Amino acid sequence: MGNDLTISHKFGAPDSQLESKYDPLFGFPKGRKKREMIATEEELDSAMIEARKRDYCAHKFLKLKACRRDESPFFYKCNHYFHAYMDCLYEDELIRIKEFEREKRLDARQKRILQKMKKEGFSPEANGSNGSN
Amino acid sequence: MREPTYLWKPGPPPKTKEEREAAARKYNLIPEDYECYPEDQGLGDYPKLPYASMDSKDPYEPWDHYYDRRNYGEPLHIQWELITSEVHDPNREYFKPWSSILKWFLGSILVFGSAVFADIYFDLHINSRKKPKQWPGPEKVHYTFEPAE
Repeated sequence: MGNDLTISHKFGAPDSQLESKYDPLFGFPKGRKKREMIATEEELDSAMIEARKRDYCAHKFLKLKACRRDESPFFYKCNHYFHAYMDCLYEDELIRIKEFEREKRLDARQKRILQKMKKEGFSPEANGSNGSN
Repeated sequence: MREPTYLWKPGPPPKTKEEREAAARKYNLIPEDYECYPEDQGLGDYPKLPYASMDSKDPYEPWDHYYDRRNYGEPLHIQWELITSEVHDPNREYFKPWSSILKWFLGSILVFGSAVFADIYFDLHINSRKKPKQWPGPEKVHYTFEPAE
């Protein structure tokens, strides 16, 4: 409750409207799997999918729409496509939340490192980056 | 004992000075305040009173009947039922003075404009605990949190 009414980006939290300021592969020794856009531009254009649905879940929405066209008016037969699409959107949201949490923890790590350097007598401006990016 | 209603009717319009004074006394007015309607209106000797609405009368005056802003024995205007507080107020000021209009106009601009200024200057927006949505596109690389291979 109230999580969506914050101005916490004014008090050190990551900004929800900006991209992450850290290298996306930093801290992943095994690398990260790339997200794939499965639906092609031609498919989306021919199905007349609107721009706000052309995300990484568009192929699931395409299947749902095709099923609805084929099975009309028995839309309950497309429920499994609908659930698959919803699960895909949920995973998409999870990635966004995880990216936020990652930036928050990397911020805290950077702050920690800077404090440690200060305690040991280094000035971070003279010595450049701390290695995170 | 109730007065017979034919006594409530206005008398004939006064012609002489004595008749005028008698009519003014009848309506509890002084002769200087008494004025008659034109004879062709058929209102007899009923006095012509100022068209002052009930709302325009001072509410802080000690009226005998406060709700009607009326004293005992005071004559009523011939169209009194039209200018009661419930019906109509011909003395109402619909337009405020220009200084008041200007004050409210500039004041509202100041209030709402300061809110807009604060929004833009301090870059206020809702900070949900999510990063922006990742849209696919050419030359765009996004990653999941699973290790590659």
